[in-house]
Amino acid sequence: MTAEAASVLGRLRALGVALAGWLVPGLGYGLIGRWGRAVGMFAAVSALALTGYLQRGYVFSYHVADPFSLLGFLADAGSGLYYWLAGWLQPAGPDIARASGDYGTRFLAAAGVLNVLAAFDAYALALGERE
Amino acid sequence: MSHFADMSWFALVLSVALSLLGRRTPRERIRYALVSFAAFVLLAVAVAWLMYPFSG
Repeated sequence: MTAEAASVLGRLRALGVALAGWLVPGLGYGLIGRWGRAVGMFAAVSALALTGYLQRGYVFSYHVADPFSLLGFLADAGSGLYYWLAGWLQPAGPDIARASGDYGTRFLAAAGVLNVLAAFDAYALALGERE
Repeated sequence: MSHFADMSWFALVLSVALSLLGRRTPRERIRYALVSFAAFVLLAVAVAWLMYPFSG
């Protein structure tokens, strides 16, 4: 295999690690053997997401109406499976009339942003750009 | 949960998560998480007091 082909394969592998880490929080780290980070990130993202759902935060839809909604959707969708399971995790729907619902909205966004950060970190680790 | 409890929980989870990033020994991770959590909470309280004169 040429060096160039190995480089392309390495980047594709790293991309797969990042996508897995986005879909299931922490899985990207697990795929490269960093199980401590995998468990820690899974616990952190899960704690933020579940707190957000318990507080009945608002989950932005992919049907965006304005730039703010787009940002909200991108943040929420960053939590991977937790976003797509919103209907099941929050059967009663959002309640942003109360302060706790507002806090929940922020917790959900933070879960997504943290998960994306972890996915990027796993990508860099898979490429060997970081230790 | 109260606002302070929500904020503290948020700060705790983020501090632990951020301590996992980067190349650190376990001791360094614990220290980072504690310093980060303290900074989150103290700064939030400080900003709250700064906003207090302007509240209703």
